[in-house]
Formats: sequence, C-alpha cells, structure tokens
Amino acid sequence: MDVLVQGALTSATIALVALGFSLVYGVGGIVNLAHGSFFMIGAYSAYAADQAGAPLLVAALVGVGSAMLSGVLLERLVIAPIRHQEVAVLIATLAVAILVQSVVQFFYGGLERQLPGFLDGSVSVLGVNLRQTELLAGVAALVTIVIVLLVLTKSPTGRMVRAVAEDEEASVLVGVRPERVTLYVLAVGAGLAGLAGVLVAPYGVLTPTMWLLPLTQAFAIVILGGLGSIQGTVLASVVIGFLDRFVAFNVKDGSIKIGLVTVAVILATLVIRPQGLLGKVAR
Amino acid sequence: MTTSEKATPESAAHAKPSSGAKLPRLLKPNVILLVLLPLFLLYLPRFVQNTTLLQAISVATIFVMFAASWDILSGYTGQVNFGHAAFIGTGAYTVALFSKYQPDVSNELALLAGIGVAAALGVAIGVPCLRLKGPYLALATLSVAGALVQLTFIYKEQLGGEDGIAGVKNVQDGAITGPLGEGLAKLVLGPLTFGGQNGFNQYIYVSYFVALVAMVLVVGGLMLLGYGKRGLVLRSIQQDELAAEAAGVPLTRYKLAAFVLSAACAGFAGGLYAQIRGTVALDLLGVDLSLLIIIIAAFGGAGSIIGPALGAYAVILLQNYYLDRASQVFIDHPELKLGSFALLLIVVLIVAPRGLVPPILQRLSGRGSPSRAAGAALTESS
Repeated sequence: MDVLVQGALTSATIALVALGFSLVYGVGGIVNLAHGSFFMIGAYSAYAADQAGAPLLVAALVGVGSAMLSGVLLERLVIAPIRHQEVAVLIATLAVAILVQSVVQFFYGGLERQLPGFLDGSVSVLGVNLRQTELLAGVAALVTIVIVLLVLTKSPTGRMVRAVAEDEEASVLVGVRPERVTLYVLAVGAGLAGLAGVLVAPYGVLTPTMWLLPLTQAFAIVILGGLGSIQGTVLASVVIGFLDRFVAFNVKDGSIKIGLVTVAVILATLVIRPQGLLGKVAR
Repeated sequence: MTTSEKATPESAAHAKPSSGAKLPRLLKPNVILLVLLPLFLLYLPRFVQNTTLLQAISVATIFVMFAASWDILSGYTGQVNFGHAAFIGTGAYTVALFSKYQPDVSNELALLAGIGVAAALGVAIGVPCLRLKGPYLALATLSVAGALVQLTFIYKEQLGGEDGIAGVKNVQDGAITGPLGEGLAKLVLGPLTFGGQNGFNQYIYVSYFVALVAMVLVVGGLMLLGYGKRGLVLRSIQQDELAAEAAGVPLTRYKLAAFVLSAACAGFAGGLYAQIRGTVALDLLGVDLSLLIIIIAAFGGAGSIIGPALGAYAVILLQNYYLDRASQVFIDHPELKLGSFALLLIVVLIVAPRGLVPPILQRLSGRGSPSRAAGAALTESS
C-alpha cells in the first residue's frame, strides 16, 4: 500500500519534470541536459526566498519564475546559436548543468537543505500516513499536468506546438514560427521542472547534485514512453514513479539504487524496444 | 552544416600524405610537435625545480591520455561518449582492488588487469550502444558512468563509497615502472641523491617520467592509427555511416574496435594514475571527470588527437596550478574551477566549434593536414 500511494505521488512529480523534457525534445529536437538543473534552480530559489523571509507562497512563485527565466536565458544565450548541431547542444547543456551545480555549491556548499512544508500535519490516505505537504505536492503536480495536457490538445496554442513537433517545415508554411514556439516550450518546460523542484523541496533534500537523478529519470521516461509521444511520457512516468518507490521501500539501501534501476530500464528499453512503449517505429 | 565543414568530404583526398602537402611529411607541425613536446618535457625537470608544478604536469600528462583515448572514439567516429570516466575509473579501481586484496600481485599485472576490465566494459557498453547515436548514446554513456558511481556506494566495504580506496601500491614499486622512472631521472638530472633534506623527492620524479613515457606510447600509437588509413575509415563513419557501409567498411567491427581501444587506453591511464596518486576516489568515476575530458577535447579540437592532448596540458595546468595562484577564491572554492571551464566550453562551442589547435596547425602546414576534419564531431548537424 505504501508503494501504491507514494508511487502515485512520485509519479506525478516526476511526470512534471519529464513532460517538459519530452516537449522540448519533441518540438525543438533539443535534448536539454540542463533540464534537471531547472528542477534544482526551482528548489534552491524557493529556498533562498524563504530564507530571505518571503512568505512560502511567494517563495514558491519565485522558484517557478526563476526556473522559467533560466529556461529563456538558456535558449537565447546557449541553444539558439548552435541549435542545429545536435551534439554541440548536448555538450553545451551538460556544461550549463555543471556550471549551475558549481554556482549552487559556491553559494550554499554541499550541505543538504530543506524547505519548510507548505502544510503542516499529516493525513491518512488509504491507510498510509502522509505529510500533508507531500499530498499537496502530488495533487498540485497532477492538476498542473492535466492543465498542460488540456492546453496541448484543445487550445490553438497547443495545436501550434504540436504542429511544430510534427513537421517543422510544414508548420512554417502555415505561419507558425518554430523558433518562437521552441522558446516558449523551453520556458514552460523549465517552469514545470521548477515547480516540481519547489513541490519536492519540503520533503526531498536540496544538494548541488540533485539535478542528475531527475534528468536520468526524465530521460528514462522519454525513452520508455517513446520519443515525442505525450501519452507515452505520462504512462512511462507512472512506471518509473512506482518503480522508484518500489525500489526505495523494498530493496536494501534502496534510495541510492534508484538511479541504478533507472539506468537498467534505459538500457533494457534501448535493446528490447528502441521505439519505446507508445513510440512510432520509424524515426 | 556550417561552412567550415563543407570542406570535410574532400579531406579524404587531402589526407593522403603526398597530395597537396607543401611541406615534407616529417616537417609537418603535428609530427614536429610529437617529437619536440616529449623532448621538452623530458628535460624540463632539469630546469624547473618547482615540485608542485612538476606534479601538476604529471597529472596533466595523464589527462593527455584520457583526452586522446576519448578522441579516438568520439572525435573520430562521432560517437560522443559522455561517460569516459567509466573506463578510467574501472582501470583505476581494478588496480586499487589488487593492492587492497592481492598485494602480492605486481603493479604491472594489476595494470594489465585494469586494461582488461576496462576493455571488457568497453565491449559491454559498446555492443548495446552500437545502434545508438547522438542523444541516445550520450545519455546511455552518461548514465552508465553514473551507475558505476552508485556501485561504489552499494559495495561500500569493498569500493569505499565516498572515501575511495587508499594505499594503492605506488608506481615506484613497479618492477618496470620503478627502474624506468629512476633511470630516466638519472639520465636527465645527472647523478642525484634521492631523499634526505637536500635530495630530490624520488616519488615525484619517478611519477613524472613514467607518466611521460606512457603518454608518448599511448598518444603516439593513437596518432599513428588516427592519421593513417584506419583513422580515415573511422572518420568516414562520422561523415556518413551509410556511405561508409556502402563503400565496404565493416561498420560494426570498426565501431566496436574504437570503443574497446578507447576503453583500454583509458583503463591503462586510469590505472597508472591510481598508482601515481596512491588513492582512488569518486573523482575518477564521476560526471565531473567525463565533462572535464569533453571540455579539454572541445577546447583543443576534437578529432585530431593532438588537439585534445594540448588542450589537456592547458586545462589541467590551469586547474591544478595556475588558478590556485591566480586567486584565493579558487583555493577556497575548488568547484568554481570546473564551473569556469564549463563556461569556457560553452563559449568555445559557440565561437570556435572546431577547437583552438586544429585551425592553427592547419594554417601552419597549409593544406593537406589530416586535422581538416577535426572538430566535426561536435558540429555534426543532426
């Protein structure tokens, strides 16, 4: 039961990170290795704002806002000049991730930090005791995901995004500006990851290397779900989320083995079913 | 494709030794560098008594091997490896484990074992990665190295987790490396007295010379390979896999061979580094090291062997020596060094995607330098 409830919550926050990663890849063809850093920037900015005495809600907004701002800066300053050089983008974004890590380490050191909970007290869900702030994180993440999916499928903006993802050249012909769309999607994706960072900050721990696991998980999700498939991303988030908690609860020293299991999933998927669960065969 | 690479398809023709070269082959800057640089480094200790600097140079020499072994796979075939530290770390940890559990085994045998295990890992990673390209390969290699880091925590008792393993048998104790280092030291420094208050610190000099010899062997071998026919074939894989296959290149064999060779050289360098440092720790396995190698290669110019080699001296000497003397900040906050290099890498990627060394060498040698296609690994369009 623990695994079920906690797994569902973890799935929701992980999906929030993976959704942005997947959208940016689908739309811009950009694999952003600095995506995990948005998660970290969100968490640390909220922490900094809280330390400066801001109310928690404001701190949360600061977290999401600075993640979005970082997304815009990343796209404009780093990705845009080398956008069509796939490998250079990979290297540059990994360099950005390391740069952010060293800046965070410079200001906050390697110590683990934590944000106060958004809600105090605990609740019982299906017989499982949860801190209210954990439940809030799961619910908020879930609501956000539903909103994003609705925007993507129902609104004109979403149609534009999907058009670019499907065929960039054709989208230009019907009057969409792919560069613009890429920028927006990266900003929104960064914001989503930042939100996940803020939500997790009260019960996860903040360290300068906290970007790596979400990045690995997001990648595993995108591989498992199938590149460019939004439904696949959501489905795979659930798989990885439950796996995460299952390993954490049932394996000795589980919490440090999560990354290992995630890597195993990536490699197994690549060998057995490279197109992912819901991906198309032709790439 | 950017304009600078438009020239690359014809590089095949120009890379033949005779065609288009203005200088005799032996006088090409690459070859001159390969002879002069080691000679310079060999006699350097005679004039530089600063042992801290000499130690920094030894480390840089080791990093030259890290970067060159990365380059033969990633710079040449375009299979960009984001987890090269995995190979280095396997070599280093294997050597350390021998010291810990089988101290009777000789240094050289432990090194060989390190090479073997690293090469085996090269096969293990190489086979599933054969079909992967670009982002897939990047994240697969990145995450394998990350997984190895976690293994050291899971087998904390054996692998030491965060603390690593101390007490690795030293390079001085090697049956070959010890006398080799001492012999070269005597040759260069003349009759000398080790130990004592005014004597030379034997360990520093032995490490220095052994690293230098190993580097010349590894880099020389890789350059011979890279600038020869096989290097062309490897490059053709990067240019156009389908065309290469159509031209009769056994793709699978070449790619896998490049993987294994890269892994074996990295394992050797990693093992030797462990014997020089006397310890192994997570910095030999982590993402930071993998990225540092990519920084070095991109900075020097991937796909030219010599570029990353020179890049390693520049970056590592900055990191281990000059930055510490430039500002107290870097001593208090060592993490800022990697941060600055990351920043530098971003700038280099945008401003000079081919790196710094190949364009200079090309200008010096006129046309026909094999380094024409250098750097294409990082700028290959999708």
